[in-house]
Amino acid sequence: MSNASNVAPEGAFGAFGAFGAFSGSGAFGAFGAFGAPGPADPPLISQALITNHDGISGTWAPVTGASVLPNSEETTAYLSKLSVPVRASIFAFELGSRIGFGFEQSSSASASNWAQVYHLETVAPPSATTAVPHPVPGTKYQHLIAMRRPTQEIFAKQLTLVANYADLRQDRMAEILAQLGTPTEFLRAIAYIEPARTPFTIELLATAHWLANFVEMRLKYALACKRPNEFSPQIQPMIWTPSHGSLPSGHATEAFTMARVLWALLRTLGVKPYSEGIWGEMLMRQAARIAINRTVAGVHFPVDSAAGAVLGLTLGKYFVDRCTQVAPHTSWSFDGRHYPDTLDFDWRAYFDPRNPAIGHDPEQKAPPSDGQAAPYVSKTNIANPEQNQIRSRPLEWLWRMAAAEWADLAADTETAAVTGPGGVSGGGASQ
Amino acid sequence: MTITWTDLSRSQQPRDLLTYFALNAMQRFFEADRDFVNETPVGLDPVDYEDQMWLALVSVAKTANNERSWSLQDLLNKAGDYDPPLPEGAVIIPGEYDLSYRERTDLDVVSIYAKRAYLNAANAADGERRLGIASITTCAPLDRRSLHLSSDPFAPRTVTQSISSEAVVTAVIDHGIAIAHDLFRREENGKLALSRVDFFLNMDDVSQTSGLLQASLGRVWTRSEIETVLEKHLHNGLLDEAEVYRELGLINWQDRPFNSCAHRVSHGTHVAGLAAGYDADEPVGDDRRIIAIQLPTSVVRNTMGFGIETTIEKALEFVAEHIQNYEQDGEPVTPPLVINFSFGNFLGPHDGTGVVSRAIHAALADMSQATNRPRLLLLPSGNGNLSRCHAVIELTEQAPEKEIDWELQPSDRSASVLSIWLPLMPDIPDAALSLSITLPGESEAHTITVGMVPRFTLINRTAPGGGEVVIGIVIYCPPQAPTFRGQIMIVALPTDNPKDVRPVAPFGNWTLRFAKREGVGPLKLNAWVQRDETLPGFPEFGRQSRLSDQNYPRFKLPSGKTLDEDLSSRPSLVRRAGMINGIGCGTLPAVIAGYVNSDGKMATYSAGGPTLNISRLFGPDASAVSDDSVALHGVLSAGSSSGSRVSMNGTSVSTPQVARWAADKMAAAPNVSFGRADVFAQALTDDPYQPDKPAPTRTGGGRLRLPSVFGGLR
Repeated sequence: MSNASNVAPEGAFGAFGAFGAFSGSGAFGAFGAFGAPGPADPPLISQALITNHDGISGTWAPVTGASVLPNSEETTAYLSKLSVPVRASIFAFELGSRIGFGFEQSSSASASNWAQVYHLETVAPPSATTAVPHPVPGTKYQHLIAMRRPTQEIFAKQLTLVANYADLRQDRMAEILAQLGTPTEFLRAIAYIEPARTPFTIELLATAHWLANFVEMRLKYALACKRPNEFSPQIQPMIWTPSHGSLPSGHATEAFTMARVLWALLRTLGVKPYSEGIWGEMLMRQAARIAINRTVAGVHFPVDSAAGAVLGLTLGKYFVDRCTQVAPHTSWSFDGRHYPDTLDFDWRAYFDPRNPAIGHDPEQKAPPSDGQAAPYVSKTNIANPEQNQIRSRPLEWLWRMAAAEWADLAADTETAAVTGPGGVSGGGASQ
Repeated sequence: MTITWTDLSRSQQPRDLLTYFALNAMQRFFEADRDFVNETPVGLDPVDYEDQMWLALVSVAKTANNERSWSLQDLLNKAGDYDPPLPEGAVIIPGEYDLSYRERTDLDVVSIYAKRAYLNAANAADGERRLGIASITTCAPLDRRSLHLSSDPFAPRTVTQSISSEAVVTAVIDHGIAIAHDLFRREENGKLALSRVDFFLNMDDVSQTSGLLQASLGRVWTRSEIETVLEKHLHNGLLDEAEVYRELGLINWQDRPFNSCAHRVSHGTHVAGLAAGYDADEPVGDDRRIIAIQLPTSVVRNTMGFGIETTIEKALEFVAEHIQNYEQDGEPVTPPLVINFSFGNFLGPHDGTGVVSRAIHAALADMSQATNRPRLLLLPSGNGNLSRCHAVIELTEQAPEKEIDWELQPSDRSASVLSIWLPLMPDIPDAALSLSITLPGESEAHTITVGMVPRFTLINRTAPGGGEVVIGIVIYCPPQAPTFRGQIMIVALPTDNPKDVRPVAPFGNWTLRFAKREGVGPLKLNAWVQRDETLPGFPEFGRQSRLSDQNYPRFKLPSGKTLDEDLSSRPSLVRRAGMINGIGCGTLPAVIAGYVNSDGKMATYSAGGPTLNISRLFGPDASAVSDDSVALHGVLSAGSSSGSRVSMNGTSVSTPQVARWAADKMAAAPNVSFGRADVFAQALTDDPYQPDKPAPTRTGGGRLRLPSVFGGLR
């Protein structure tokens, strides 16, 4: 049974494991660790080092504290000395510690309930006093994304789409199986990502991937939506159905998060031709293809992809904001109860790449409402985002390192002056 | 389970077996396929089987004095007067037939939409007298949403396309034509300049009246409407094809479980690419216009496993109408026309007198009469050379008896049909021939005799819980106009039903023993099994039944290579020769076989003659490349997505290359007639006689040396 490890089929989690699949290409391999111990020390070497120590270390010579300078504290310079898995833990903390979650239990039994994901604004604490020697920072939760699950009737109607999409399984099998791994494999076909060339871009995408997974799993858990194969014995997915809930689609969330982050990254330095709209078109098509393939495989409803796309696009923007010192200032909601029951998934309803090269910034959007029905996607501007909230310097560092990888080698680049890890201000790209 | 055989009396006998069988015996298979009885699938309205609308190709009967045919209006009147009354809307005359056509009294084959009650009444023994229908062919219910259910003629509306004097129109009748592919449009400076598709009839689309032109089945899209759709979905210089096809009704996952244009490879796109695909920046594209017809998926993929050709009349009628809607410098012109129909089947009299062949002939003759411009229809010779679906059974005084097995496959979800034609004999002596049929697992044969009396025998199987189920039918039709050859036909239910556990046809060998009565002259019988395989790209359901004779060698010894010619040294009843496309035996169309470019040999699957049509004895007219090499199967052409190239093989792909060549020829001489004979002549020129030239029954005039359209490098 291919599920013996209980890892392979788990969709999004499987994707983390799948970083291990990159191990042939060095930089990716380390992601396989994620908290696990690093490569084991070979016993032969350890044994040798023991006897070697005995043989040469000689008599113990004490040292004084003044003879060694302390490291600077809380400095991003330290990050470049850390291994990738260690940094991953730091980035995860930076992101995860600012995310809050709540589930609004409705008193009415018939009402479906809203799951809320918040961003935690923190401001520097007041100066310490004798009375309060360790003051805590000021905090405020702001809305980031709200989601409500569709009714069973909507899922049931969506099931016909799932059944019909099975037609494409033969055509898409290679893609579906390959996409059990990370979307990076498919995004790298578009952007020139390569472990030796763009290690920090890979790390940045993995970090965005982590955020997407972190949020989507909590939402899936809260919304607990049944999978297509729980509605009908005739769906018969061609891959393992993951153990977690159906909506939002993890693959859609992760792919759209990463696609949006990647395009913003590519455009940071204003290098040609990445601001051309076609780059956004391709990245979004790729994300949509990954999402739709999950419906072809029989493990997701199209509405799952729609919810995942809205969530992923929101998280992608949020992630870039966190990395570029922008106070998160918009929140989105996805109301599954108002999703048109027979509607297929079309990414263009939620995002328009437009053409930044001519000053038309990309736009996350809500699908046009047909007048009568309540909108199922809506955007809210956060009234007063805290402009002085504490920034994440590790995330800024990561962004800067990754952005520098996209500096042009062309002589006439306008951005030549700001290339290099130290010179990038970041935050310039809109999403 | 017991088998019983029940003869129907003359007055009980329906006239067309396949129509009767499709309408009645196949009910539970259509129902299982469409799921429309026990449950209501999400997204579909509950539909009663009786309410299903069928597309029928009918030949209109002559009036009592034989002077003229009934008119379409007469047919409607007769249906209205029928007693007992037929259900409301039981027959619909398509709106495309205008008022003047409805008065015509020289009709032969027309198409109608009808419910089962009408079709059974028309197919009954007295159907010709009571409803004015001389013969009838149907195969599968249509998707009702694509039908315009009114008999009123459409208000005459025309949309005219402007062309130059060098323009040639290529009509592609197919399934899965991704018309938004960049090979079918012109771009200038990266901007859309022209959709080269002038008229597109999507028989799959939901019927609607909002378009510029109306259609009784599906929806018509004209060039300006297509261009609007293309413009709307161009983003950052890229066409969002998913959105385009959704809007054009070619991809619709909510309503259809099969969407050809969503696949990487689609038959119609590949064929259209070869027939009329040009890079978007090639100016010649301005003068190679396209009329595209997407055939209905419900008919292409139906549980009979065949029958798509019943839609050809509607398609040709669409072409005939719109080829007149062109103008040049403000003056109406009818440009030269090439029509490609890369489909076929195995059945039919193979002499050009079948109903589909006649419909094609009539349409082409009509179109040519109306203008002196060149018109050419191309058909593939078919891929059935190795299908073992043809046998020639010669009964002589020395050998008056022959036995052959008809092998039905297990898990075949499509009906199986075997047709046996007697020689051309206006009068057949009583009991001249007998056929004894033994079903798999049965020890007793049932015998029918052949003379001038029609026979209709139901094969019943007892259901486990009691009751009898018709699992097959055997008929005999004495010679009649226009074929004048007697015909025995055996149809069997599928051997599997996905839902219904009642008896199905037994798979295995159906043993057929033919015996000629002493004193009757030698009889040469031609048997063909109908093609009922799943078409490429469709979900598996049909499995091809075949004829079996132990003398039929499949492989060369000792090499083990596939034998693709019959061995004269070892005569077998089962023949490769004569497997040519059953609708490719008429006199007017050009029929194209396929060869392998690398070694010049005929593709092993490429079917050939002889036919029984005196003006087409060899079979195909010519052959073109259908495989680049023995290793690289198929030829390259358009995949469904813009920019993609995929390979596909078969005579389906050799045929449109000839269509492309013919279009160039016509463009060079638009006022010179151009026909099948020109194709044959070119083939003779391209491929002069030499010892290893393939036989004319396989290659017709020879192997055309056409330039490769999309190259052979891959």
